Amino acid sequence: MSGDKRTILVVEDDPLSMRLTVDLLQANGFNTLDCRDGTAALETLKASSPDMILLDINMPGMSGFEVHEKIRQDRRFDGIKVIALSASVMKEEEDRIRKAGFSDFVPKPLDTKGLVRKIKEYLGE
Amino acid sequence: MRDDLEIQYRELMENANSIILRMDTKGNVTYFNRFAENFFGFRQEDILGKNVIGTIVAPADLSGKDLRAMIDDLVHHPSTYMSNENENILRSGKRVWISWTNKAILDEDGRPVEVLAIGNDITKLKEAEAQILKAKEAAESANKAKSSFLANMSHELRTPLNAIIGFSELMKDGTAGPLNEKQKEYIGYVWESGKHLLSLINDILDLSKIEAGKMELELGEFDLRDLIKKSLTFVSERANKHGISLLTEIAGGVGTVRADERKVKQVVFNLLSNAMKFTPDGGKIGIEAKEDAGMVKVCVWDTGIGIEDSDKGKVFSEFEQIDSEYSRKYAGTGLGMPLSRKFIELHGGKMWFESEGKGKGTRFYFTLPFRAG
Repeated sequence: MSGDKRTILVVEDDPLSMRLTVDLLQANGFNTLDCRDGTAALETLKASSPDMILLDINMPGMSGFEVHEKIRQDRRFDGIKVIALSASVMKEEEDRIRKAGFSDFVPKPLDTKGLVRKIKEYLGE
Repeated sequence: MRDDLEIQYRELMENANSIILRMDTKGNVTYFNRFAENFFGFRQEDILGKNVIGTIVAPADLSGKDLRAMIDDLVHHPSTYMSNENENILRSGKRVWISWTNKAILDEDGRPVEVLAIGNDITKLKEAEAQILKAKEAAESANKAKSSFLANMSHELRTPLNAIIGFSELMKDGTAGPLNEKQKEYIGYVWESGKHLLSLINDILDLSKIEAGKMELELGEFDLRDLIKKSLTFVSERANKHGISLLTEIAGGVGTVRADERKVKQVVFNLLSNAMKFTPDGGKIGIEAKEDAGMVKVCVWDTGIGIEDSDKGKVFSEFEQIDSEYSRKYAGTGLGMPLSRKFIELHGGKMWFESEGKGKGTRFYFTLPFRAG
């Protein structure tokens, strides 16, 4: 049965936020892939194609914006929804996320039930 | 007679408490009064016949402005320099600022032959001006530093809160396995406190944005009736539980408004939950909206504990909460009311309240223009 499970790639530098998101997704029946930074995420995407990506915006090294741009430049990933996660709620950043063309934006601290509902909607479940 | 007059004029110019000089169309000094001698440190015999450039005017001022070109232009077009402020230099090398009045002296054919210049020292004024500008820039950069500090702080606080709220939420929901009653109770407190801390951070950020003049309204059209009805559903469960009846009265003229929906919702919700907080079981809470003097006037009233005269000054103060068994039971952030009033004021409305005293209930009002912005 595990073959039917949808896979979600989580890109997040904060270890506790990563653990929370991964445990939440697994508890709700998803497979997860986890990457601590943008470089690792782009590397992972070469070998596997997740159904969705949860992408933290504020990361050391490559920011979520840069990672998103690189993903969008590659036609192979056209079908993958990318949801931005950010602990910054400044309006400037939210506007920038909306403009950058992410599928959606979810603020941190996460509303765990809300996030699961949103993911299921996007995956048509 | 004519000689007398000329002597009088000469006396006047010599003894005036202003710099008075004349120069020809090449910029060479032809007259230099006593005040100018004392001020610049040049004797008449040192300066007469010499050019102003190199004596009382440096080739360029400290900001790099070409004064040689300015003098050249001035002697040919004195009328455009009738009132002019520029930097000058004393014999000692000290730079000064002088406010000049320049006037062309014409020959019989009306051609300019000389310029009469009368000047007053404004160095101190200029220095004060520069200091004010510096202070203003310092204040602006401090304000910017404060804003970016708050933005960073808010981000840094949210990251650990993500773990606190998120993990306690998973435990509370049973995702991490079954809990006994006490564990459920305790983890509930962790979750509620985390949420409380989050609203505090949000409110502080909003208040500081308002103080910095950076809070912008996101104006849009929406139906105020719908907003009021939706807000009531948020408190209806708690009202039912405590036997509190909710009453609504919206007049026909109240409908679509142009305002910041999210902020108006926050205000209405805040007033309703405050009313709930201070109304004992079995009481009544109501919300009314009607047109009044070209604005929408909304009133949230309750039959609760009321506000004593001695507490009335605290209602819109930051971090002041009126102490009562009710407020202790449902602690807020202490920022809800001041923030609500500021949101309304940003729209161009007003907020106030009436209470006849202890046990007599409270009526909160706010007005909102039909079309803000």
